[in-house]
Amino acid sequence: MTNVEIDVNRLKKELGGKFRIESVEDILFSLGIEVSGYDEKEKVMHIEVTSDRSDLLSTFGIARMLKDYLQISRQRKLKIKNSGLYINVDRSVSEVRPFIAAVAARKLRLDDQSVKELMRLQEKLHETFCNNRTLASIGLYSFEKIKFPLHYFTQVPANITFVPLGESKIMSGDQILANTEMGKKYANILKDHKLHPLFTDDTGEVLSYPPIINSNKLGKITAQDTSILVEVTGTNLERVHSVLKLMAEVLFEMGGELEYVNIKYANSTDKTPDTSETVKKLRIEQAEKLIGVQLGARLARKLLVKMGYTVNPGSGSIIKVGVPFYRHDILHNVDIMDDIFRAYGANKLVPEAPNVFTVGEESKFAKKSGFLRNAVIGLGFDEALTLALTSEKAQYTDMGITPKQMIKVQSAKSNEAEIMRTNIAPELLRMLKANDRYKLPIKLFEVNDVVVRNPASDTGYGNDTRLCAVICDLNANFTSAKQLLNFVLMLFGIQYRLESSTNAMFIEGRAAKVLAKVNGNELNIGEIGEIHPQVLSNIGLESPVASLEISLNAIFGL
Amino acid sequence: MPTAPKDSKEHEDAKETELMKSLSEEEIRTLLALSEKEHLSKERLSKDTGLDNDKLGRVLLHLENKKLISEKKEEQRRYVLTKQGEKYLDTKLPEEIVYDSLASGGKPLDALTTIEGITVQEARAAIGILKSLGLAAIKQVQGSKPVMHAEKNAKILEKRREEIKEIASGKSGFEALKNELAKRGIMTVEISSEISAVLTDFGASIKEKLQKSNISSGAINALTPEMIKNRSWEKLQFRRYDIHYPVPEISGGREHPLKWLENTCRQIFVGMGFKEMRGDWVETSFWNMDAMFIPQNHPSRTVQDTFYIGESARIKPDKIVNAVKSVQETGAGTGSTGYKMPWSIDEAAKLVLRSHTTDITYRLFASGIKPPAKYFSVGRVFRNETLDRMHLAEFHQIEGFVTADGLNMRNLEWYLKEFYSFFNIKKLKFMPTYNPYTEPSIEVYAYHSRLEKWLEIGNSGIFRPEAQHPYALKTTTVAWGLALERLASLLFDVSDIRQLVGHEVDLGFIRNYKYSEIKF
Repeated sequence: MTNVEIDVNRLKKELGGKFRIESVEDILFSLGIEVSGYDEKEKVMHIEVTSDRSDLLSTFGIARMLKDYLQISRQRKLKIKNSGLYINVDRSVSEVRPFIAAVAARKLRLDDQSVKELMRLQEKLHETFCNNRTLASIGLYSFEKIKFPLHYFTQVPANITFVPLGESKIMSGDQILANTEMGKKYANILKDHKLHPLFTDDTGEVLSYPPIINSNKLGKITAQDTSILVEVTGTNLERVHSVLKLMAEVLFEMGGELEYVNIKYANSTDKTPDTSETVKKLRIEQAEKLIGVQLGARLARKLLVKMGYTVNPGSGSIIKVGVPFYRHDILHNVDIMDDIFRAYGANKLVPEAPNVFTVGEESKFAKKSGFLRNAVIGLGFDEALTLALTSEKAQYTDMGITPKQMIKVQSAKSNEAEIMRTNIAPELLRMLKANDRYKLPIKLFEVNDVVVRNPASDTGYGNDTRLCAVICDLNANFTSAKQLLNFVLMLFGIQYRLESSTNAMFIEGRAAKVLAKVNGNELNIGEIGEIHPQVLSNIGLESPVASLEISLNAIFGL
Repeated sequence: MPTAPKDSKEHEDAKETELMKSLSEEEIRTLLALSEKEHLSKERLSKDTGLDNDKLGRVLLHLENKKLISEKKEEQRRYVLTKQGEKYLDTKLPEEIVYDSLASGGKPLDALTTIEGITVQEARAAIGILKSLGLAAIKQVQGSKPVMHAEKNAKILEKRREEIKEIASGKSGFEALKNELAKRGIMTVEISSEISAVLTDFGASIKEKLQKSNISSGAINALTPEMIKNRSWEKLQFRRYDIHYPVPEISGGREHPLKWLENTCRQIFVGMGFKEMRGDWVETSFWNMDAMFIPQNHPSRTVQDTFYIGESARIKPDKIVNAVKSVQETGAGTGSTGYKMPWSIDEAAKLVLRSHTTDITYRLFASGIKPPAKYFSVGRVFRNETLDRMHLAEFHQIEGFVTADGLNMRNLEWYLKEFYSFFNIKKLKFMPTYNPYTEPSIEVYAYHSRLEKWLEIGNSGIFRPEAQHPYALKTTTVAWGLALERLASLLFDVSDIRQLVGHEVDLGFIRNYKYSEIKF
């Protein structure tokens, strides 16, 4: 989801004054856009746009969608003129950032609000559809100051020199990467390259250093500009084209007269933006089948038009659907059917029970663990449900354990969720501490999973289902744990023997490995014992605790 | 015919007899030890009845409830020597020290306040005391400092010393001296309350009857195996209990409320013909994302959203992997354009903690299922969230899908409404949304009547053709992922998720959640 600020005054103007915030909110909800806030004073509406709809990341995009939906007429077909403008692309850019596309918009009447709107759209596109400038990046330039043709080539950063946007002195490429905010933020995109892309006009004046920063002289747009050049460079041609189309449509809606820009690659040419409309053949019956409603040709056509598509006239069962050139999210006919569904109304459907007969069944895990859990609850144990992600301190340090290997997650936002647990007992001990105001005895258990290495699995890891129980009482001891073990293994008819074990978690001489006979094999399924007083004081517990933790995978046959 | 009212005397007697039968042996013993004329202290009664303080307290409470006695609570002030006081008594009191120093003649006042062994404050107090006892007088010759002279009468101080000892031993009286000693920190006051009891008129009459009757041995408190065997109960009275008397709380083991909810969901789906599936927490990016047509540059695949564990699995480019690659890049003849971006097997090999349970569905697709089929699972999923009252880095997802010919969005909405109606959640609305693997997709909102707002509780849709193509699944699949904790917070009226799951959950919540309080 991307949060977009909508300029309500502009929206009102675009919709011709027909406007009530609440009704717009309802329409947007039905079309899949959530209004998350409205700032009455600033006249700004905050909306959440899903990641497929980059065409809705501006006030103009939302106005466009609402106009179509409310059937307010607008110039749907983009007008654009051929021009003699061209960009020469040097062969060397293919190594670092191969593609470029551009459009010119003339006779614009900008104001501070619309400049702000353009900047915001550029920023939102960079963050989302451009994948933080890795796939594509956008530059806007003051058209009148530029001398065509333009040149897109590469240069070693040391030889790149210009005044970057927002700076006052000439800097080298190296300095820009090292010292400017944008340089530091995006330098990693170019870090594997010796030659960096550079975009200049015919006099050698720098327009921009893609994807890092524009020049202060040519790459700064103000309300005084009446003509703008928009350029997009990138590593994926498809994405470069799509981004330019989104910018072109908005500039057109702002009243700009658009002109194509010719791109001269070493071995080919391109004319951008690509404004061709895709036509898809849609069988109405398929949409009806998917939604579950008999629409008929007329309604289906009407709904399509409301969603911004063009349709061929008539009442045939196959509609030729013109997909607007800025709708890069239409991959398949189901995407068009989805728009019909949205226009029809998700909340208008009458739910219908399907006639699908199947037999239900619980998993083996649910059956066996349910049997076990009921029995353990019968012994007076309260059931816990603790978290699988935990801290290294809780899982190992406090237990006196030095793990051979930890399953650590990357870039964890909280150190309370930095590793995946390999044992449940530390969590139950923490729960005892959190509840130490309750009268003793406190008996807790949990049947749940931990993650262990499993060479047989395609990930190299696997879940291990455990029964873990802790008994906290003045006379909790090895016997308490062993009694529970006897009881639990009796439930599944498992024979076992104990073997003395050493584990810093337990008092020495009062801990044992459980060796169970499962299907003729003797397996080490876990450990029981009296928790070591050092471990208890690490956690802050002041009464003795006996614990049991055994694996159930083999016993359950999971 | 109504029966005539019983003679009131007879009625009274019957009530008294019933009351006498309800008395325990200990109550009778205490009753007999009490007097109607004077309050007897608890200490004395304990000696007379042989009952310890606690038990006697309970017995007196019972007798008072039965209006047989009245209790009196009296505050007692006991004066006890402080450590300092004891030291003074062992050696000399400050007034004695000052007095003795005057034996060799008058001394200036300021010299008296610097005598070794006592503080200035004590010395000043001692001077005041000696003056008020008439043991010393202050004289001042013009132009010189005031001088104190002693009067010879040491007996007064000796008497004072004896009185202090008497106060310490608990003797009453000496109020002025007590106050002075307390103020000076030589003694402290310990306040205790003494309970004493006296028989009421009713109690006295019952006592009289008890003395005359043979019940004095008391009624049976507890039935013993012995009594049952030798039938001695036939000759004995069972003490009547006060059935209104409060009893201590008990608690046994309880199922965790969220596990209760998980099992309830399980029952609902099994009842609707769904089979249960399970999967592991560590998953490849392939099964977590690529397999279901999530593009490799999808924002949810960054470390800000998904937990990567910094390792990769080895993925063999088998039939399914190749089909996934081609459908993502080109659409693979499904009528889709695909994402028109190169697909990387290395990216797909990265290990993650599953961010949803849909990976289980797709592993099942890959292993081959025979439509029509319905499956569900309830399992943990992991997301790199900043922890707060609404978010944990892990939660439970209720996953489900139905695959059959001819399913549509109305059927999907039916399953969702049907499931939530089991919890009496009837006010649902749907918002179209985007999921890379379903189209159409709808988010499920439930109206929270206490919060008076709509809460998002799940996400669902119909699987895209591209997301089914690698598994040659030709039927239509409706599927959903619903939030167990959101459902729980609606039902248990819990606003902080940490009260619901994790080690900080209050044991009281687990032990005491009530069926009647679950907000269906």
